Amino acid sequence: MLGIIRKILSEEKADAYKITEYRTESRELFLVKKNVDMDRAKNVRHFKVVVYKDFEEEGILYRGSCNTDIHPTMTEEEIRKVVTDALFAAGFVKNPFYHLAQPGEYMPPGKSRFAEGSLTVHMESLVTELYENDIHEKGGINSSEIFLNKHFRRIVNSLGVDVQEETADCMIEFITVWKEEKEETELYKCLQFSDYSKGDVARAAAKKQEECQKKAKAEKLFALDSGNILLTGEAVQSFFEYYCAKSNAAAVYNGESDWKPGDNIQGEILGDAVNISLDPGMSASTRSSGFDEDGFPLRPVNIVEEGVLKRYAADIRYAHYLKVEPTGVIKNIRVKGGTRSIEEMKREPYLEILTFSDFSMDAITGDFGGEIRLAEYFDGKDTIPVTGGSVTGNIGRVHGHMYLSREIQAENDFEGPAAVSMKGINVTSG
Amino acid sequence: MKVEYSGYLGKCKPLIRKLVEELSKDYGYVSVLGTDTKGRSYRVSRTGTIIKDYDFGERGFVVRIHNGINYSEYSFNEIKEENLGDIMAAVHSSLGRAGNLKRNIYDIIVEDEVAENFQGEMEVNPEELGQKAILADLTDIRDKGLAESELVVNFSASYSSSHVSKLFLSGKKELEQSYMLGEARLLSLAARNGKIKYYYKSASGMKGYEVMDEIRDKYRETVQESVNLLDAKPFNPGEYDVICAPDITGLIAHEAFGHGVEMDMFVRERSKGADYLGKQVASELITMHDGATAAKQVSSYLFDDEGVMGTDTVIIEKGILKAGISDILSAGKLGTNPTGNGKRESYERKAYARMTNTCFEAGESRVEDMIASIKCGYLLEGMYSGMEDPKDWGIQCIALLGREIRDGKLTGELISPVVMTGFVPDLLKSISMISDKVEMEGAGYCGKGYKEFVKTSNGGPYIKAKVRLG
Repeated sequence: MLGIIRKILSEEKADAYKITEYRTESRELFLVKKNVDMDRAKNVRHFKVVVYKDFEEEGILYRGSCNTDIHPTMTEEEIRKVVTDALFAAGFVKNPFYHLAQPGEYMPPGKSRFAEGSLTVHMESLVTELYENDIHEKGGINSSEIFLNKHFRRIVNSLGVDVQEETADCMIEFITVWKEEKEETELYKCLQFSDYSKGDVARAAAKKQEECQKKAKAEKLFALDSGNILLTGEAVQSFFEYYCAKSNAAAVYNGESDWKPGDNIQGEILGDAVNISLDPGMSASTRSSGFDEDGFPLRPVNIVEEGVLKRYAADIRYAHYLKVEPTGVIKNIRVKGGTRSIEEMKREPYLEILTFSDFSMDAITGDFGGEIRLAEYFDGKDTIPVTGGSVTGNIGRVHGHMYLSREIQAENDFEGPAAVSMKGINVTSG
Repeated sequence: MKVEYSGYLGKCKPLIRKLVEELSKDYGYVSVLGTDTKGRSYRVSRTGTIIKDYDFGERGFVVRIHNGINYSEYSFNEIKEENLGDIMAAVHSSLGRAGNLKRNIYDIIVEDEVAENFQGEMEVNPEELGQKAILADLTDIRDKGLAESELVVNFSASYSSSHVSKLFLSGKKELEQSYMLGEARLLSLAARNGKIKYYYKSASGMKGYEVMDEIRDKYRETVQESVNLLDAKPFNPGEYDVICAPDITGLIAHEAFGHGVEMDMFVRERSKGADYLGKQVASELITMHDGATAAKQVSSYLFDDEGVMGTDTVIIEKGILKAGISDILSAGKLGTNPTGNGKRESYERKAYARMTNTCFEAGESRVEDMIASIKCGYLLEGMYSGMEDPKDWGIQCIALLGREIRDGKLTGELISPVVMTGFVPDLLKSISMISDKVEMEGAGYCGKGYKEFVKTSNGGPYIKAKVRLG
């Protein structure tokens, strides 16, 4: 199939092209309580093609492109029509010229235990671990969905890039429930990983059950003055994704960010400075890869050091536009821990938010917020679980004086502080 | 004009029929859904042009079997006479295998004999209009937007088409449908002294390129609002009287009682809605619908992804919770009638109970009277995001902006963004006025939790309610 597509691209005189082939084989289990409600399997193959058309107007060189899908069931005649349509469209796309990726040296991704052996056998092990601690009368796992995938990806372009990798990953989505005197309550968790150690899944499930138990006893969040707020868990990742979005060359080129290398992006730092690196080989991440979607070879890179933007995260196109060195698109984020332990952060009254309904961070404006599903409030004497209400703020108004925990959390594509302590954000009661 | 049905699916039909017949020798129920969806997305901005195939384009099949205890599915996208045996072998070898795990029992689906087809209509076929003309139109709108203000750092005009064809075959059903969905969007990004704000306008429908007519002239207000937002002021969080514009009304309907009555959540005992059927959950002014036939929008169809005909479900009638929306398996488990809400992100994903076109019915108030009735509050508009909580009936909706109302008048001051939270029945019971016109919106996607994205539309009239804002 790939050979046919290349032949047609050559015959139709594409000035350049990129072809990506994806294959996925999967097993999926859907459980209600501890019983299988449905099982699914999948075996699919996809081809995605980008065609490029170069042209010059008034002495300026342009490179138009069009992305198109080619299905494995298409006839040669259908493929030719799709390609010629895409080339025709690319001729109207007046984007400044840029180069495609050249062949390079690629670092192989880490080996996954799912890559070998039967997916069905791996699935049984995962189900056993997930439900290992589901032994309580008052609560447990309400339902779960487990997806085990083996992926093959190959990228070929007209400059000689021909690179491929086989990966495997798992996604487990589960709901924990708990009932005390009040109505039963629930919490959601999604785990994603390309590899795991025995006990990881069981620990994650037990932790969520414990949180759910707290939520079942939680009081409605009462009116609070904006005090010491601790973000924890997944919200911390969303919070730091703002820095990655603002450091992205495409965002700068498109006017969504005005950050420049050398800028002190936190302003006057009265708390902890932010340090961010991108690591394409982060262990167990489903987003680790030796190359990006352009076939560009990836290496670890520092983006922010001590609150100063060191360089843009730039794919090959936008790096060319901004005249900076490309980093490729790296999807794993590593944030250095700060100067305070979580214990130190908790020496004054605090509201520690454990779970949001959906923590939202606007990567353009820096506005963030969300409804609180579970938090713990410490008034200087007692700690009580609370629920409801919301927090809202703007990163520009808090990051000059926030503190990052020394303790580190690691989950899938993020490694960074387990907690961020901040003041000056709005808290609304539940 | 009629929307053409997929030639590919038409050609595959005899093979699919053969697959169903062969598998039916081993399994008590067999069905196959075939999809062929293609489309183009166009975006023209100050900094570049993008043309690509529609993100949710697909061509493939999913076979569902009753494995003797419950249901199993196999998704694939390569079929020809020669590999029919391989597909059947994959179904036999990979499905119904759950080791020592117990299985929930599901009855075999009982179907009526039915053969129907549906071809949607459109006025302007984007495939005939051509890529050059579409780009020229979008470029013209972009240029007008950029010329509106020096504070605009970027302005984009976007359009995407989605030409959907689906085939459903089972022992007794033979269903085919094709329709065109269109989405258009204007986005303005304004900046001043390091502060960046944005605003958008969108339109959608079961339409061809004519959908662009609904927002072509709205570039000026899109730019103006993005510039106005640069002066948005902070406000004191707390409880306020608000008026929700139709997009926010739709977001409330969607998050509050749309997700809350997806009946696969009833099966999992994850929805409080199951305990409230027949009880008052909202103001008597509220009647709420969901269904493929409840409106002509982006989730209108003849049949769902499980071969069940689309319907119009009255979820809330005069404040009383009347019914939920269901996929076929949940309905079987609960002993209710399926409502034609079994939807998949693609043939590669499971079907769940999902919303289609969800809205509150119109009332009798005039928007001017609603504004005049508020001493201190806000008019909320511009959908940003929302999240459901069917178990605890919490709600989180984020609006792009709030327009200040003081002493019955809009002051021209804005707040942004606005997070609205609360307990669903409290919010719905507080609704005290409803305007007389329903508007629908379907330019985004709806997820189940954080995945399984499908097209839905939401809407309603302007509503007046009391909510907590942050």
